[in-house]
Amino acid sequence: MKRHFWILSVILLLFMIFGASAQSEGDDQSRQTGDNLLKNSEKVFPRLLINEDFSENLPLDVYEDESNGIKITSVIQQKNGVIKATNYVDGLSKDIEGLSAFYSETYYGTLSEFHLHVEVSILNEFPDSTGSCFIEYTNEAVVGENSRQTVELILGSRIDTYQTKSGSRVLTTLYDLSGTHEVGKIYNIDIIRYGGIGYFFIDGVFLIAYQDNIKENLSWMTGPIVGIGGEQTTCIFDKIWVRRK
Amino acid sequence: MKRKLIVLILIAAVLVAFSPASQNFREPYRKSTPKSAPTKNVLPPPLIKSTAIPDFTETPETLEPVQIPEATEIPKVPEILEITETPEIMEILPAQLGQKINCGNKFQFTFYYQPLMSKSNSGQVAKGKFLVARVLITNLTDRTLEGLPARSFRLHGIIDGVDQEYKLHIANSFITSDRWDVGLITDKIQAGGMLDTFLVFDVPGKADNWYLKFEPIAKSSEGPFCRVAIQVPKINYVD
Repeated sequence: MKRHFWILSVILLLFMIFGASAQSEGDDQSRQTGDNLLKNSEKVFPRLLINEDFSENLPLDVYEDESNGIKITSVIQQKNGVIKATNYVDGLSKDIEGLSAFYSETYYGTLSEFHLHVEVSILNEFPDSTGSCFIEYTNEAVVGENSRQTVELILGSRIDTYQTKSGSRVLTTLYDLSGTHEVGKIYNIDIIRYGGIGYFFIDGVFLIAYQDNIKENLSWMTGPIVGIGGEQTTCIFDKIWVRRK
Repeated sequence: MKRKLIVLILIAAVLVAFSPASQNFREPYRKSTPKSAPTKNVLPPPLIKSTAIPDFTETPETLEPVQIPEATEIPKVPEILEITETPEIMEILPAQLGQKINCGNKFQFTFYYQPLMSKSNSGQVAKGKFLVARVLITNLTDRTLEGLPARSFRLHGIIDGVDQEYKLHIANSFITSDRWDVGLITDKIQAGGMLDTFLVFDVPGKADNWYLKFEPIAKSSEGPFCRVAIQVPKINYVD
């Protein structure tokens, strides 16, 4: 019986060791690939497609939209080397996850493989903990908004992916980012898409790799999000650049 | 011994169940279909095709005094936010143009130009009428503020004895301020610094009395720095 005990213990131990390592192998491999891509970005993606430091002061942009009893006003200001974007929402229902009005300056073109970098900060939010800023890549420019696939990073919330079908979205959370909700802090965000996989980093730290299965070329969007019960969110965007092969 | 074996098997089962290999803390990489059950979110249509505010090339209107027209019919009441049946007791301070009104010892508020009421302003047409006020706000706190939220400004009108509250008309406030090249409510206000800006509200029309509730705030959890209700000086009714 004692022998059984030891055999069983050894089997169990081996199972745990190999099982765990099999799981982390995928993580480690993705992390290693991601870190290598980030480190060698200039070699992998030698051409600079976009390099925005927002040094030019531009006229104020104000947009209004009203649908389903919800009014959203977006104020976008490119001044003093940054873009400051504020979304105001009036009548936000408590059961609606969030609203954002995108600004289109990141619609520079479409690529399948790229390295996107942006410095983002949640400047303020009202009430507390209702605001966030997003950065996403999407095939919307190719397939249209009604059937687009998107992978997005939402500061202070998550990395997720969704597909739009007939006006609704099927959304899957990929990674928890609730620890990145420090108002006023500048977050350096890097998104690399390589070989059909999106690699996500904040402040140079690898977070996740995700095979998105998007066949079409992609473009990028950024903007503030007003969450449940929120009134207004301001995000600051700085130093947006995209490298390509 | 049998019991020992059963216990061991049970321990093994528990360990296997909680081993890292059997858990998916997040989505597996390189999987074509995410494993976790998707959450269905119904969001309103994307707003990327928002209607852009027209390009304003005309010169800003001047705020010259205009003859007060005969009383006109008050149009349909737009955007009544709430009807306060039992208004909170707050002294309404009278204000003259240019007079500095203290909000505690934290802020000062001044109606700088004569407020005007007009059907249209800065290229936009109001649902009712725009009440436009150019104001000066001085930050007497020792903090630099990253702007003031729209909720800092609530206009109240007493119409037929009923107190009605109106939120700031964001777009018109920004567009008007931008056209006049003055500050925006989102601008940084240094400690001791002053913000010169326009506040615009979409209101039904004339009222027996107008007052502005000024409650500057930096962070909702901290509450407002101060509260003050200020009577709106005599209005110039443009149309």
